[in-house]
Amino acid sequence: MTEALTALEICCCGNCAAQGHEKETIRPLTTEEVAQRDANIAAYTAQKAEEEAAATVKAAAKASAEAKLAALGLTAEEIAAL
Amino acid sequence: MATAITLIEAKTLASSTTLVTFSAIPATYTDLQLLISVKSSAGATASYIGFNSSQASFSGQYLYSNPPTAPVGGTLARYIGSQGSNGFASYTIYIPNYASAKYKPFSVDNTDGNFGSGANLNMTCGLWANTAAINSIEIDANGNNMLQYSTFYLYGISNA
Repeated sequence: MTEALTALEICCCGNCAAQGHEKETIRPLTTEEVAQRDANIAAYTAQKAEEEAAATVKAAAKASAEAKLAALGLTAEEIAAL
Repeated sequence: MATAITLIEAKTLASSTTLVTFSAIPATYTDLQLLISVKSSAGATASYIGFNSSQASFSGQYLYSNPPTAPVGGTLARYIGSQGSNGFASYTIYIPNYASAKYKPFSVDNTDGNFGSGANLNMTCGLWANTAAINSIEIDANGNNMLQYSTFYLYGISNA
């Protein structure tokens, strides 16, 4: 899906009419803003992948530790209480 | 002057937009606070902040919790949280000493509205390593559209 990429600018000067400009402006994103958007998407995607990988490693380590504790004779309740 | 909180600008989106900018922010307050209620066109998306049309010299850390999964943390510059399409997400952004000649730290708490059965927590702190006074704030939803009826309230905080 292609969405229209627009920017809304709201002036906070409090005196727009006297200064001869619009209080609000809607315009298309600039080339630089589109490039920044693409960079943000890439950074966020990479960060989330890193989080998921770390969570997977942690879950595997936890399962391994629980299996080793169970092999030592601890019950599931005892392992959960640790 | 007594301590006061002043509404600088309020905006309810009449139509979808990708980037919202508050410009020409007066330097007459001590701190700034931005309250946002926003729904996006994407199922789940990150949001980012910028100052003075700059995306450079930012750093940031976040703590993200999506129960019952244990919280996770990380670093991501300009990141302020997440939002979705199933409900409105909330953001509270505080920027102390925004007009000073020092670097500009800021804090954000965010609860996304993406899941009908729960909510996720984002706690974020960031730093803009720039000594310029902040005169504009840009909010974008990672290139996705922020939808109609999303609201933005910018306040100035004046100390006594």
